[in-house]
Amino acid sequence: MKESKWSDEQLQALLSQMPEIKDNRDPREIYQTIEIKMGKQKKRTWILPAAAAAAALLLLFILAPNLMNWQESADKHVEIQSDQTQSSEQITSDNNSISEAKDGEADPEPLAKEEDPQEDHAQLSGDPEKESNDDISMKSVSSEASPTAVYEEDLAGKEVLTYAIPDKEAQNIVPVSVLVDDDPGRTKFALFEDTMSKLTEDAWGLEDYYPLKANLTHDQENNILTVDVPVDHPYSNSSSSELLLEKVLANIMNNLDLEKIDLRTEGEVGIEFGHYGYIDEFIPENSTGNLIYYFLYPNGADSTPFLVPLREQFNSVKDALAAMKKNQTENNLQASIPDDIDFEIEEIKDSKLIIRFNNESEIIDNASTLHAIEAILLTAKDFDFDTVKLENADVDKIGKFDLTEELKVPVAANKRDLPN
Amino acid sequence: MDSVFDELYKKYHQDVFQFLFYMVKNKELAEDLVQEVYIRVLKSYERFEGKSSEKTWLFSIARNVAIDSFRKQKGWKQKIMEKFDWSTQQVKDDLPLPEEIAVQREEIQMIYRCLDLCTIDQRLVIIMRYIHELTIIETADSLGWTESKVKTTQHRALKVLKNHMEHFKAKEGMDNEGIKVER
Repeated sequence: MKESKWSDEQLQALLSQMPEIKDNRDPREIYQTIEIKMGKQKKRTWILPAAAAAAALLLLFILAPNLMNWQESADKHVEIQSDQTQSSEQITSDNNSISEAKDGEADPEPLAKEEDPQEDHAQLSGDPEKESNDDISMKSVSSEASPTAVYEEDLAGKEVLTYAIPDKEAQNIVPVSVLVDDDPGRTKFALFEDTMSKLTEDAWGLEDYYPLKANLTHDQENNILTVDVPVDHPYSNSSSSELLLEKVLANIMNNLDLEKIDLRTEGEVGIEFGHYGYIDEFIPENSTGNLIYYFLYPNGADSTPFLVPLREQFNSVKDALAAMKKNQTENNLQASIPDDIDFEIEEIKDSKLIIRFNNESEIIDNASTLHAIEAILLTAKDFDFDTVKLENADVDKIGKFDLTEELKVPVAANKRDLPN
Repeated sequence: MDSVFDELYKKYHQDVFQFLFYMVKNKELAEDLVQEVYIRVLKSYERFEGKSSEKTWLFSIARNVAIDSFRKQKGWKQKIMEKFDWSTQQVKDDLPLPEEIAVQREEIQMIYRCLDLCTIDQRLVIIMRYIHELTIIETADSLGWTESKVKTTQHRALKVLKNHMEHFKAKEGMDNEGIKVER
């Protein structure tokens, strides 16, 4: 075997003789394969993730509102449940003596002889559900914030009737006051009974509770109210409906200054309740503590709130006002004093309360500040103050309130109008 | 059919295919890879600026496709390699010789096998320079190298080939002699 020595040239020659290798496929076949692959790759690279992202966004869009409300509705649910299982403890925070706060209306003082029509219009405009109802007059009315409560000057020739109306969730009892023309020939009970059927609870965002499914008779001599229900009455359907009736009757009792309420079933003495058992006369729970007012928004956060009282024990009016800054989520009630408003209780004398706002607090003329002031006034009323003076506000006037003057506490909370 | 594809196919298809085949030494794989080259070309054809010639542009893409394919294969290839003892510098012959090579004379077959012993860079230069007969400039352009790098790599590649060819020859001679002795 000879020694072989390869030169570069030999190698190059050898390499150039390497055979040609051909791809024998049809170009159309190749092109088709490429097209398929390119299509697939496109799909893989962006169509699928894009579709997934779109689907996720859609889901988020659908679920987000529900998720946000979920916590709240879960709370409500629990609340209703506990309402049904709980009995009298619940009454500590009940509203059954709302009318204590409204003693004034039992003997209305016709101090202000002139009725302010402007006031009435403003009242209308404050009610969004009213706005949609009827009344041409409100269209011309400015959107200036209007108070929600009944004040002395509203009373001229009018009688205030306060009805305890449950909200849609049967969580709160809302004291709603309506003004009716005073009729010297009729008793307050007669007015109360007549007006019962005119209430528009649904339009107010509350439970349709009146007229009561019972015959009411008033024994004027002994000041005893007899409540006569039919056999198929709805008030013992559940423990919560029994509890509601109890609260409502307690309100009526306070409102009309009754001595006693007798219970009847189609003329027979007593009512058989599913949970309370047989009861022949109504005895209100003795309640202690004070009523402090929170906001309830049955028609959404931008509507006029109801001011709903809760009964709680407080050492001082200062503690009570501090408690009003906290939401009562278990009752679905909102704080009635904004958290950023700070104040000191400066002086308490001769049934006069002086509240001095801190410099950082922003007290401006808008609806929410107005409603906060009303909540303060109503709570002050329950602590037996007659007037409240607000100092160091940024403005002199908020809605109808002149802050340079002492403010009189309202006669009743939550004035609403009846349809004509 | 796409006009771009049509044109590229007519002008360069067999060149690109052959280049890929000598790189991977597997016809089926080369068929797949040539499709990948078309996909990349069609996707970026608008970006082809004409700075380089179409031919060197295609070769540079083909080279990237081949290198990517080596990377993909590395995983299982290494596993196989572990089973061989490389200390003896055995020429790897895990793929059967394709028909086109098998009918050639012994020296061609030998140099075909020796290509495996070069590094990938060396093999790229050998195939481009001597099988496809690209100029130094074209090769540098395709590989994105300087001309001097092409020249050095080419020099080293030839040296590697030479060594292995001689080693091969000597071994074969010994085998032949062995047979003769037996007879």
